[in-house]
Amino acid sequence: MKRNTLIILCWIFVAGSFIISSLTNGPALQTANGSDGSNTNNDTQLLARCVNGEARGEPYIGQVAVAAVILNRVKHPSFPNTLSGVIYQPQAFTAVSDGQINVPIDENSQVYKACREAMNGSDPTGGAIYYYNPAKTTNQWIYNRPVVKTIGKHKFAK
Amino acid sequence: MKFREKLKDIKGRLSDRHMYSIVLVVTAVIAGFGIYQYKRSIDFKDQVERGYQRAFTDLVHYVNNLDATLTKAIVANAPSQLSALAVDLWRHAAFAQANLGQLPVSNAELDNTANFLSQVGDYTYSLSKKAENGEKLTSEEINRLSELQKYSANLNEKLQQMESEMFGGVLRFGSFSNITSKITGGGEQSFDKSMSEIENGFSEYASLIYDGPFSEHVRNRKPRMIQDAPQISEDEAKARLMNFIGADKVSSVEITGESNGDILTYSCTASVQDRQIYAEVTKNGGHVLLVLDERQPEQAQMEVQDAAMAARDFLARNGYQNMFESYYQREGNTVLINYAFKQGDYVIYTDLIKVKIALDTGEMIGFEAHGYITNHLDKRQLPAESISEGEARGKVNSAIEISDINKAMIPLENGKEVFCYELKGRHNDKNFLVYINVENGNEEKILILLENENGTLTI
Repeated sequence: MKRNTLIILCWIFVAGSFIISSLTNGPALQTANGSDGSNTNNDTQLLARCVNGEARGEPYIGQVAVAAVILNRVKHPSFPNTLSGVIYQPQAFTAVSDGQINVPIDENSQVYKACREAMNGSDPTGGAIYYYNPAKTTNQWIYNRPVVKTIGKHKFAK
Repeated sequence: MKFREKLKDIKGRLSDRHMYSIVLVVTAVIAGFGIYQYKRSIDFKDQVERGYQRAFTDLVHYVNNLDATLTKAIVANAPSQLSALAVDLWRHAAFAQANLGQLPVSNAELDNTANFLSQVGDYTYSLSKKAENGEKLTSEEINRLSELQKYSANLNEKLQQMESEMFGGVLRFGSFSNITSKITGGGEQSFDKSMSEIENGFSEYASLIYDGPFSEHVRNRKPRMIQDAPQISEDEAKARLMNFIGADKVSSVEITGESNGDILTYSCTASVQDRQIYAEVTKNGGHVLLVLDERQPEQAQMEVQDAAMAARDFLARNGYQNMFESYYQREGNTVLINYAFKQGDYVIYTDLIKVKIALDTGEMIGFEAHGYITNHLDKRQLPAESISEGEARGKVNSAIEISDINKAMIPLENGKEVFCYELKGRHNDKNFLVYINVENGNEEKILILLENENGTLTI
């Protein structure tokens, strides 16, 4: 009797874990701890979440560069005219498609400060609107764009 | 033989104490669960596809309107009519572009299309402003409009065709459907491919030069300060940077690369004590464009006013004369101060330098001079002031209580520089800056001043 109960329990465990894993979502949508909830704070938080997904682990200057590219796109006529339009544009950023955009960023973190730096006007990319990691990218078209410079493992292009 | 025995063995085990039915039930549960999940994913896929369909049909709708409005604009006679049509056109183009940005196609395939949509509304609006000022449109401009209309007609036609394909079930947006079409062997047109065809239709679309913010000549302006300046060597760049940050602080400077952006620069890393500072020095003229020091001061030991004094000293020491604080923003134990060049009585806002000061030592830990390098002129021609201060006050909305009046030079969206009275006033608990042109009394710009304990922001 004992052995069979064990088998039954195992099956229930397997089935149960199936059900539970498919019912819970990915990184849950949490609210950011913005201090005063003004527009600029929310924009910075959104930007930080995107940069975190794209350039986590890169040096500070690399993160400022990625943030600057996103901001350059907002000003560029070929891209949507709002920060969220640029970030949420389908197929633009892997950080959006894999859910990392929902991870809240601490205002004291390096990536948040890098975003503030970029929003204050620092642009180490010289106006670039594309960037890619040559070791990882599969998109052939992007190699045709003129490269402005290389920072860390990313190339920045116009 | 062994297999047969195994089968017999399993059968035996199953018939033992209802095991058979238990296994059957569990399998049914898992299978049912799997089917349920599959159906859910189909639902989600459909939901996403519907979202794309909505964005696409909206795009078609707005491009259709854009085409019609542009056609009318070409034959409009009265300036007021052209103005009204230009406003409509701009609205249609903006919505079309917003919806285009929601479609699942990589930017490579809509670069020119998006560009066209950005510029067409802008261009027509700038022409309508000309007409309002009494200037006649040149034949070249009218030809330009006709050309634009041809493009919009082409775009409209292609999009209508795609829309029919979509309603006919042939065109799908989501990329997951491509797999099935590959398996079933086609009958489905991919959205990517259709967009590429449209994009190719714009390959002859030459960039527009006109009086607006998206015009090529405004976006790609040559920076003034480095236009005719000679190129400096790497060693010279290193020396200048060392001098800039402080020869006593910097132990060494290395060139880590070059930047071929809108301003050609050397990328440098300066070694200071325990850390490295990133900087960029322009190749032409050897001006420091950017300094990024990551240092975070542990505490604040001075007020913002003292930091401003330190910053002014720093700027004067490095040859930037006549720079005055305009706005500041405090972040943690650092403060970022905006400096504008002052010529005579006028604060020249375009010649902008941002300096970040550490509030413990007062040293410069951040520097950004893109605005200054792009726009600075040592001596601009100051205009004759046809409007007096008193008259300027009269031009401001009487509901605003004016508290202060200064003079400034501000940039307009089309790149033009205008000299104005800067009137600061209050209304409904909000602070405003109103700019009145000194030459003709036009109300050129209104800004809202957002002030909090961390500094001031203008929008």
